[in-house]
Amino acid sequence: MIFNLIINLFVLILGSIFHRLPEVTTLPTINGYDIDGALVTGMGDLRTFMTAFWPLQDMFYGFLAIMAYYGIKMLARLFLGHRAPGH
Amino acid sequence: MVTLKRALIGLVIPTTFLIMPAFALANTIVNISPTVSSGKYVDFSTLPEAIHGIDDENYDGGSGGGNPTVTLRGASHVADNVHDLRTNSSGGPFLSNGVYNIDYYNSSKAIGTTGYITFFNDASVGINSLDGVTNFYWFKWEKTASATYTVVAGGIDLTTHIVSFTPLEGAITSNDVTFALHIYINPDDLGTFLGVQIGYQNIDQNYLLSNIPGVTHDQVLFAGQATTSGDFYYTATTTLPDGNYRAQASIKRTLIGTFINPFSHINDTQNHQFVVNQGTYIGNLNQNGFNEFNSILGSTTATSTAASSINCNPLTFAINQCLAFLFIPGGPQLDNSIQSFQDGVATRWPWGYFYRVYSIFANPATNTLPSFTTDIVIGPPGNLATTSLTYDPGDMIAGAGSLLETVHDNQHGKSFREVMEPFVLLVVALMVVFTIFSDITGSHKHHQEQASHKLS
Repeated sequence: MIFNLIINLFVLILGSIFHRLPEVTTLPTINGYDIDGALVTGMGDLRTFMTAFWPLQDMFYGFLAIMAYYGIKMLARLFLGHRAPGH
Repeated sequence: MVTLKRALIGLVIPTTFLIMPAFALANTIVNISPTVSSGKYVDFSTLPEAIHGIDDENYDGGSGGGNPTVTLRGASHVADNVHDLRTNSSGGPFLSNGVYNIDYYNSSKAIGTTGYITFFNDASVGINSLDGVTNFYWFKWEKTASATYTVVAGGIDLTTHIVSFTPLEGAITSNDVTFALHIYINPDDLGTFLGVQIGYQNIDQNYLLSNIPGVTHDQVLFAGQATTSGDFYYTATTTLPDGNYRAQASIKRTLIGTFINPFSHINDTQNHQFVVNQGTYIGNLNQNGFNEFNSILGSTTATSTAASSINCNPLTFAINQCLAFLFIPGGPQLDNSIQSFQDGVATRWPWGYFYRVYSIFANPATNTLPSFTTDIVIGPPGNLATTSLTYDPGDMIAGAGSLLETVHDNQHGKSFREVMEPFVLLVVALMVVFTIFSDITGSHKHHQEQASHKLS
């Protein structure tokens, strides 16, 4: 409960600061190309394949793991700059 | 402090409630509330079968005395206050669920007789026998069938307590909100002041950062003192704007004046937090934080989250469970915090674009793949007879997928997937590890590229 409270206070502080920023609900449309719609449609099609063909699903999870790695790496580079590991 | 303030306010307001007559309660399983007129029946709708003893009880009819007796047609005497209902008015057995007529005998006063008898039988709490009669169903008789009593070990809970109140915890309502309070007051608890109150407050405003002037924050719907025992009902419908709210019902024992007796076992305050149509970010946080504080303090004001805090009760202290309660994150609250973080922080510009991509990836929705149909000429030259050919990739994929799922190894009885998926996962895992490892070590870079790095 104490841990929950700390997290909640942390979220409250962050939320009080940032919740006034505009909320992002969709990706932008650039030069008439709806990136959000394309991504939603593409992922929906991919998941249709994955539900029937489980090896594709396993591979997709692997892909997500690599994406998560690069996401963490990007954050580390953002915060640590040249001191980030692997830089 | 808010609770104290509300109770104080409540006790100043003149008494305006309780129209139910007093009644004697010699047997703790009986609750009889005689009311109005005409029509009375036994509701067996919740029973698996109906072979039941029934405990009736003389009651004080109020308004001038008299002790009218509930007599059940077809019931035979089994023991004191216990009757056997195995035959109904037509002489046949009660063997099926349904609604049955009962007879009613009023010896002296024209007290109303409309009511429901609702039977309870909960073997899990061991109350299916009484006075040697087994397969016994507890019952109450009251004006309305909708109210629900808490069934506790030994019978229906007839201590002074809040039986129920709405809106329920976590409810999402429309703008017309019905506040309904049902309190049971034991006759033995009358004597000194007993304050009853129900109200609500708006909790979706951040009073430090964005207080909205003119919006009512705290509203007392009803406050009064209990002067008679039995059931007390309060119902009101209020139109509220969208947002998060906290309803509070309380019954408090007071001593002299408005001073609340903190040692009374009667003091019972319950909070329900609800949302009218759509909650707000601040309101959800407030709701979440309220539950956490209640858990930490072990307050009796919490209805749904106080249970785990009992581990830190000094009288029944269990250090491991108390520490676990204090430091191990609770699942629902953590989920709420994560949800609040997503709503208030993660979705905000500019990093909200990354979160949107994540949301699309995490969304489990699938698409129906487009199919197409074309006409094909099938006749000889000069004959333009055609047939249509439809290609549905969805069907093909489903067929292939079904084949992968259903092919079995006859010797071990395992499906193709059960046999092969571990290998596929192993290969995928190795590829992930290799990709990350090579990125960290730079082993995938060409020698010239590495050399250029060194030169630079």
